[in-house]
Amino acid sequence: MTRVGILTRTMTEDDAVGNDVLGMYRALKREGHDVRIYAETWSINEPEVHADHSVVDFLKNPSDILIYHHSIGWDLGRELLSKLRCKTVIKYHNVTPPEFFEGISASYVQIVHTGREQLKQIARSNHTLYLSASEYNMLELIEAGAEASRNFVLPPFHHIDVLDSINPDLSVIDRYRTGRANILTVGRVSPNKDHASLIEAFANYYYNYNSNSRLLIVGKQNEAFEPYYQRLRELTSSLCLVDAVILTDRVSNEEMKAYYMISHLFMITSRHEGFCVPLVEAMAMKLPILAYGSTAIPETVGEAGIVWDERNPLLMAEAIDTLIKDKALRANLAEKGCNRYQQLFTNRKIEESFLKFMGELR
Amino acid sequence: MQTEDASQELKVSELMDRIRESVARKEAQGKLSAIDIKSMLRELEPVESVPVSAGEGIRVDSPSAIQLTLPKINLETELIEGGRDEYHVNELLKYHDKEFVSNAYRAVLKREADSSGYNNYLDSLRSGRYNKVDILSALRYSPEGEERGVRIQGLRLPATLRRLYRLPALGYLIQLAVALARLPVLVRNHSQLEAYSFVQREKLVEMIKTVEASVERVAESVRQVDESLRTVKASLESSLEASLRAMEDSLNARLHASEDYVNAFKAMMESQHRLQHQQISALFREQRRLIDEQKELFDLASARHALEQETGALPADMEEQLKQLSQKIEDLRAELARNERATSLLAMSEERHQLDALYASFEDEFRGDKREIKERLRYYLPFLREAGITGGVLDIGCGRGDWLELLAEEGIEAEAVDSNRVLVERCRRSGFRVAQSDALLYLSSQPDASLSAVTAFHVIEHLPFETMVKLLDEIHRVLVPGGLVMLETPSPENLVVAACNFYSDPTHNRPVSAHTLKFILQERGFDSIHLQFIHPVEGSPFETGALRLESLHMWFYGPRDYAIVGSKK
Repeated sequence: MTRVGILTRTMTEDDAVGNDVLGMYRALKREGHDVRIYAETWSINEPEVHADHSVVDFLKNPSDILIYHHSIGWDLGRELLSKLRCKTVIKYHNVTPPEFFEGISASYVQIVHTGREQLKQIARSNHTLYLSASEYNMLELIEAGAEASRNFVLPPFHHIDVLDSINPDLSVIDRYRTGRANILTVGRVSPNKDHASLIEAFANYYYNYNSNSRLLIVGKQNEAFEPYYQRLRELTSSLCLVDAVILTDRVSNEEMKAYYMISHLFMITSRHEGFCVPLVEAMAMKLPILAYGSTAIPETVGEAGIVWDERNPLLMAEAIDTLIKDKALRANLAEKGCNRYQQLFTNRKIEESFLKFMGELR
Repeated sequence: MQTEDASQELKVSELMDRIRESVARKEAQGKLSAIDIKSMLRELEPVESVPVSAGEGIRVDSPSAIQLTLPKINLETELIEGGRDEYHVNELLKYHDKEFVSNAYRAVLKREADSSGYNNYLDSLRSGRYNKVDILSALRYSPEGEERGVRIQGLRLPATLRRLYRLPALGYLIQLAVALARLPVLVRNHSQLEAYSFVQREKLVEMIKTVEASVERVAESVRQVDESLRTVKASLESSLEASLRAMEDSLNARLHASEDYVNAFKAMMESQHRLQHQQISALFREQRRLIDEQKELFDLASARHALEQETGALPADMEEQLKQLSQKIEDLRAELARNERATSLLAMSEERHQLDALYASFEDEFRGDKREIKERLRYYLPFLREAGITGGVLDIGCGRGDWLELLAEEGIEAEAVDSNRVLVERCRRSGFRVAQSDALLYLSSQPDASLSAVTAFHVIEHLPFETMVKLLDEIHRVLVPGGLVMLETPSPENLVVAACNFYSDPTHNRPVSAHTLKFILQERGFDSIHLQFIHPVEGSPFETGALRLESLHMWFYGPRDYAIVGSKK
């Protein structure tokens, strides 16, 4: 039995980092280890989350293990990380570059700027093991000075098993299963996702091919990004697409499942992703994927979806049209996605590799 | 772009290439109009600056296009904070109307105005019944105001004065005196108000000007867009017109050229004819006159020869055209002949149907009692039952539909075909599915192996031999393996039938011998053939044991029909 502390700045159930922390916690617990989660702020009661600074009292032996989730700037976290004398594992989820938040939120610019600076320090601090959500992230760490032989890729744990086991929300199904083509994107509505490009691609489809269609932007919004949302609203109204582009804000798991069920394809035009869990969800929920190939997206999708190297809305529109018109093709592409999910990204597969890494630490 | 086979491994890169090509093609054909959002994206205004050194930025280009920027003008005064315990009366008096009432409540009673009090005071203020001092003192010296105990400097005196004004007679004098004393202050206030109003007016004018300028800019952009649309439309129209005109010109030119060519050819022919004629007459004249001047004669002859050769060399394409023309004439003739044949055939087939009504009444008269016929047809039901057939039965020559009725009663699905329009109409009215058609034609339109049983009672004796064999072949084709054919026809082994009764039906062709039919069925691919003579004549004098004239009995009183049932191998 080993003592393992998992340290993250915020612990919530509805984001990628939170789900990854929970996945690790459960896997280690099942193996019989003494695991605790530490955070600065948290919104869950179960499992118990401990106050960040108390981790120093828990991990005292050199054989103890700290798993530090890095996704944002956090001075105290960085301090705790350097103070502890146990084995340290970094789980790197990537930090969105500050440029995306400029003109939108000064505090976010600051916090991710710090996160980027701390990434360099973390990379150079010779931690025991570096686990990255994707190869893209891993290369960033190595470039920042981390030793290549201590770096590995481990996709994040996710809540797809929950989506699988619940019933979809019927009101969502009633509202949107109306014979209109539904194009879905999922994820926190954050400026790095470049929703303007998404709306642009959709507008090209809507006006050139099929106006009986709808773009569903499903994901939690953040008050700090209001200027960004304002801009998106102006864009949709300039394009006369107010009725066809729907932003939902945060949805329950049941609603999320319903959105996956009523949609015909999944589209993403993000400019920065460290892994992009919604892509894996789309694969698992058998939705064909359309994307622009930035950062970690090509790596996550592989050959299981259409990923354009160039950002050309006409290509995207034609691809939407081709897929919407051809049900067999959609099913075929979705099947490829589902196979990829089964082969690489199920929680079971992730747990196997995670426990292997942890086993080698001892 | 349908995928033919979903199970086939999908190559995403090939799919993407197809999409790329399709976009390129549609763009080249002008079928796509790209929507570019760059011009629609508002430039983000910088928020408070934060020093950033790491990472390279990805900038979204967003040049501003038509932008309507309206100046902000603040005509409202801020509401005062209610947190203080002490105010000067002038702080409160500087507000007007609604603002005054709201602020008075906040300052004096430390709360928002309730709607009845608010409306009441606002009405009083607007009607002049109360002035601001009245309202302030009313609020301040109300029980609630006393409880709050907010100090309002400079209120006590005006409040007292206002109360004094209300005294009878004396009040007016006091009011007058105070008014006189306050006159300079009033004048100053008035000029302040005037200055303030002027400034506000200036601001308004400025704002209106800016709005006007923005609107003009927008109007200008709209005009430009309109103009460019007009230009595009005009250029499209003119280019379309130009290309149409060019096409027309070139067609005209080609037409003229060919006309010229024909004329030239005609002229050449004519001149050659003339020349030839002249030459020949000259030749004759020369012959007579200069018979011995052979050299000259020879020259003339060779000239003629050359001429003839020239005439013979008609342009090859003209010959070809002539050939095509005559071919066309031939084709037209042939088509005309075909049309005539078709018309006469049509007339003939129409003629055939003229007798439908007659034959229908003949059936009624000669076929026999409906109940009896149905009873007799029951004979065939066990065959269907044994083969497990509950549907897919086709009855050829259904006539009055006796068999169809029986099948319906038995719950066996069936359809039928008959050529007699009158009978078909009658059956349809009874609710049966009956096609009006020639049996062979109808069968030929049915798919292979699509029927479980085909019945044809008293049909084949109407057909010439070749047609009958063809019909049996078609029946064989449309039956499923194991499907049944069931035929009934008059038996010529009964001599009365063969010699007399058979001919009572004027549409009968010739009797078919039972053994011949059995042989043909075997030859055409049917087996398990069951042949039975049915419907014997009653009251035979030869049947009695004493006479033992069996053959006579068979000849004259033997079965009048036979049934033959076979199944497809």
